[in-house]
Amino acid sequence: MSAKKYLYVITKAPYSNAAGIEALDAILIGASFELDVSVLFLHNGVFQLKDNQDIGVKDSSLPNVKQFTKTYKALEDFGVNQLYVQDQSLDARGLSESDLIVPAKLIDSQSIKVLVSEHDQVFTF
Amino acid sequence: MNVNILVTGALYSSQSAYSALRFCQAAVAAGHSISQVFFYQDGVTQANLYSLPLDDEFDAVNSWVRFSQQTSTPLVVCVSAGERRGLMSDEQVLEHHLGRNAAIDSNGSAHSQFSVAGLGVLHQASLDSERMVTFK
Repeated sequence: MSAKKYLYVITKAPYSNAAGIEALDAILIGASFELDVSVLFLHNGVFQLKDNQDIGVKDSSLPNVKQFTKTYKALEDFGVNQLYVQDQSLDARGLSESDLIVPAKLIDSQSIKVLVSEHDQVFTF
Repeated sequence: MNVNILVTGALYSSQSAYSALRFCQAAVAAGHSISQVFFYQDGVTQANLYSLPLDDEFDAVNSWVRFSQQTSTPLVVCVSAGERRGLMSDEQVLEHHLGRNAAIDSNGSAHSQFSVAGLGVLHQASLDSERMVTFK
């Protein structure tokens, strides 16, 4: 039997809430179950992959905040290499493919319908 | 049909508990079964034993407890999301030495009808269910 296909959808920007951190925890558990894991970044979720994020981790006078978005670059090591970004979400926020910290496939709304229908389970964060 | 429920909305400030409970009751009444209700992200607050809504308000915690007892549906709180938000079993309070008197105090904030487990339990239940429905 082939591995079940799980899609994790991230719709929130990083640091304003814990959705990204807690989605990553769930994604890594999914990968440990040897599922066929895909991740879709939608709406403000595209900001999770924005490069050149500086949250002041080098300034020791500031409270310590974990720069968790680096974990997206490590997903490949856990067998997670199907990352999708909605093109309209990028455009609407003045971002392009070259702003992303990790390679992701650009996908339009019509293709998202197909993507969702191809997966056995969908988790939305 | 076997349905797995994921609840991620906060206690009181979101309607996720009310909507999820109504869904669960309707599903059971229609002959379906709920494999488990898993509480993740802010949803872990719905297990808080110390929640005291006003008498004429919806009591999410005790409504979940009654539903679980009546239908034998397991309620599961994510351990890491719970610890980050101060939602713990008696055993965790002792383990982390968080009681007011660490030697004897074991007043966990999680209601005993909720078990505390990892995200693996959520994934296993979703593998064994035909549908997963999320309430944010």
